[in-house]
Amino acid sequence: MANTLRPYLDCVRTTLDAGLCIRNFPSQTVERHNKPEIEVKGSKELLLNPLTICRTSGERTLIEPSVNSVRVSVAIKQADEIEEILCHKFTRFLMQRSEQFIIMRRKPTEGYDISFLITHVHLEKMWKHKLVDFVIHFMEEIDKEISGMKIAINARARIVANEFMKKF
Amino acid sequence: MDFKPPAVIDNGTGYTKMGYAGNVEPQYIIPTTISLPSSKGTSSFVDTKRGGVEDLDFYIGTDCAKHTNTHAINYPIRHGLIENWDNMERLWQRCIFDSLRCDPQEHYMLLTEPPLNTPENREYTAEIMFETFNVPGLYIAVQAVLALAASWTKKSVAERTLTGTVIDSGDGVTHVIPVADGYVIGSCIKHIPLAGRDITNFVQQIQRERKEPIPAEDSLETARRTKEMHSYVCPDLVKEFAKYDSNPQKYIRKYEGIKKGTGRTWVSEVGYERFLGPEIFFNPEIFSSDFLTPLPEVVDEAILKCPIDTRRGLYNNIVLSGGSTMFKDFGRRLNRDIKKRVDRRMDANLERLGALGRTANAQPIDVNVVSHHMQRYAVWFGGSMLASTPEFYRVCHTKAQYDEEGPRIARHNAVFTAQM
Amino acid sequence: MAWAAKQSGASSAGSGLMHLPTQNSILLSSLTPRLGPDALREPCELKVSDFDDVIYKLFVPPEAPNMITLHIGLRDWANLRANGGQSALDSNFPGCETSPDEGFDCAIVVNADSPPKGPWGSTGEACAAKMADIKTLLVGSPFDAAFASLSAGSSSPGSITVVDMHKPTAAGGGKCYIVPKDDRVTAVFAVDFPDETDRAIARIFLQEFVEAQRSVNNCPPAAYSRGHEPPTEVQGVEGIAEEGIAGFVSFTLFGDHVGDGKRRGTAVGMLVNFLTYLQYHVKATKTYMHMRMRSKVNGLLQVLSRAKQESSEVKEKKTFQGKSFQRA
Repeated sequence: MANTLRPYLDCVRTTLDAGLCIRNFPSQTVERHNKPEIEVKGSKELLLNPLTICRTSGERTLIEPSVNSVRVSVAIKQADEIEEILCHKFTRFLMQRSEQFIIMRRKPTEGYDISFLITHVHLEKMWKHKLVDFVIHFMEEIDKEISGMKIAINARARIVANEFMKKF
Repeated sequence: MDFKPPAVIDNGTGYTKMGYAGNVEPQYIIPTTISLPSSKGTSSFVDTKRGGVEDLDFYIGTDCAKHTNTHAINYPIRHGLIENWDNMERLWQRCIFDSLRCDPQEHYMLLTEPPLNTPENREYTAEIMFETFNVPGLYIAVQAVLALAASWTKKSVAERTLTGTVIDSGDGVTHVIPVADGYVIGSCIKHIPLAGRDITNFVQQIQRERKEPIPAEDSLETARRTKEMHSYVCPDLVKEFAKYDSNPQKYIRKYEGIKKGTGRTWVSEVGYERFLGPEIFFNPEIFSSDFLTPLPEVVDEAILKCPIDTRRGLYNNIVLSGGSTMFKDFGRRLNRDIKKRVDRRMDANLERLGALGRTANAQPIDVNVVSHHMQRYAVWFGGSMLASTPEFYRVCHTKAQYDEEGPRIARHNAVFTAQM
Repeated sequence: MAWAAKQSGASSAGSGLMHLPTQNSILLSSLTPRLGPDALREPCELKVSDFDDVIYKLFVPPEAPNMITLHIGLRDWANLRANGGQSALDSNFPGCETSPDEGFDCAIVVNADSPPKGPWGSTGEACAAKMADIKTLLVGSPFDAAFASLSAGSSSPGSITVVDMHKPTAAGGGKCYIVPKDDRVTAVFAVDFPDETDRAIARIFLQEFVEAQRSVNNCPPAAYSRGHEPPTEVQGVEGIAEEGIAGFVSFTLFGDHVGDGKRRGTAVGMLVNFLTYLQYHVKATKTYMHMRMRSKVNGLLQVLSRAKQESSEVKEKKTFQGKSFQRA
């Protein structure tokens, strides 16, 4: 892993660790409902200060904490056309399976590629530090996978072209 | 030029039937298998020059058998449901590009699914079809409904309905599936663990017990061919035995085969197994010890579980589909046996009412088992027929819809009756 | 039967399927038993399709099961016909042409009892193979004509032949421009895909064709240019400067690439199937991506499931009275 990536991920980890301080908080407006306040944004005093962590202009993480939920949105580095498309394909593929990913949102927040919504229910059922580990691991992997796929496509293109030219 | 026939691919557990809509027979019938390079085999693919296209190193269908020393065979579909999506996607890739040679961007696609397929599976299918192959339109049809549509060839336009009971018997398992107005009544589906493979085994067993001079290595093949070429359904087991015993020359046939190694011909007799094989559907106790309900009874029970307002329609249109329903007089015997059960029940009910001092006029229930020419590939043929109507394009999910809404559009596929 | 099990089109064992066969295997498996030694005489009516908008109808009437008619529908037949299609048909299937059904452009009828003889041989099987490959023959005829005059030294520079293969998008694409010069023939393909992803992948592929000429000996030089800048050979051709197609790729063939009949035949086949080849590999790449993504999803899910607390903590507890309750 590139050395510059480490501080970025460490920063996300620390911030998440601090931000994931949430508790059960039933809705103030609807009886017996329990909504993630960060999504509803019903009351100002329930929201905490959102924080953006940037590595570059393209690569950034937005962490929005609230009293009972935290939203984490990730913008993934996209250097060229093919990375853009691969990123789009991959995030779409993942979000299609967000049911299995429990904490993944079906749609990213505006301006980001993929978002997670962690509520108090998740934290009650899962280890907090491992959940943070997952988010960090995810960010690492998705970068790695996109560049891996890009290399694979290029290698593939070379073989395909060579095979064609050989036939003449 | 707007003649771009949709491609119809019916992926079954055992066999994949595929071809272009508008034809009467599928153009390919291949085993639903894919063979991938086995790690221990000395695949020539390990060479680094080719690194990057290993995923193209596979064979499908009949080609699998030719590469068994380097490749291991996989079955991506189990019990009708797709289990391995990687392999299924590659199977489709080969089907589309190599076998059908259709530009997937230009042809609509009709795929089939078993009853009780999960909506997630449909989403995954749509994801592959639209994102990988960019098909312009996709329809996922229930196999049983297509089998019903296939039986329309026997009927006048007015009689074409999508209500009926489908008896689908292939190689592995037999299903009884009631369908009302194009919707499968999922809770009333019955499965019978007896099908083509069991008949073959039974025939083989009989031949072995009679000590026919069949070479051991040809035994299974002989049994299968006997089943396919000589078997039929008899109206009455006892009478049939008597018929054979009184006039053996007339009924007992000869089977000739050639021994593989030596090339010598051998001759065996084909006797009672001609009618005993298919009889396991009607008297399962002659073959199986754990499944003992005869087919007519299973069909009757399945229909009786269905909502009362659909039952007449279900009795009236019992449709056969699949290779193991092809025996001569299969439909006739089934019809008779079901009719007998239904009539007996109705008489008993009337009698009971009579004993209570009341009278009722019961309208007799029509039992009608439909046999037709397209039985063997009924599902594919039904698909081919429906996909060649203009109505098909109306109910298809299009690429534009997919791009707008995502894979969830494929969760539901509109039922349609085509006016032809 | 017409649907007899297909033979593998893979070129060599173990190499997987890099190249798609040029023959239509459905036609081949229907024609071979009828024209070959099996001498099957069964009526047949078959409508199938092929790449590049080609459609076929194979018809064998029940009253004359030896007369096999193959109707073919192609894009822009008038143009193909004028540029070598007609003569290709005449020389390969002499006296076989017949009037096509409605919706089709040309048709040949073959008597299975006395199959025609052509430059490809005289056996029935060879005839079946040629008929199954008729797309290459007809769509490839302008290429073949251009190569023939190149070998003969009678190229007519300046006359560009356009082969309209298919139309992937409204922007254009799917065309091949054959540009003859005195000592070479350049085939310029306008490539496009309706899907953004396909287009991006195709661009990478096209660039690699240019790279490939360095590592492959004696291959025709290739050049690539982006969609809005057509190569110099075809500048000025009507409707060429369409915006936004995936790109142009051109192969320049010299005399020795098409020197003997065999090499010429291969070259024609390769060029006719170029767009299909590209399309197949673009789609196969997406399948590969899906495979990678599926395995990645499984990997990520495993990491996530590690975060789940063991459910064994929800042990059944008894109250003082002996009633059981579960702690939520």
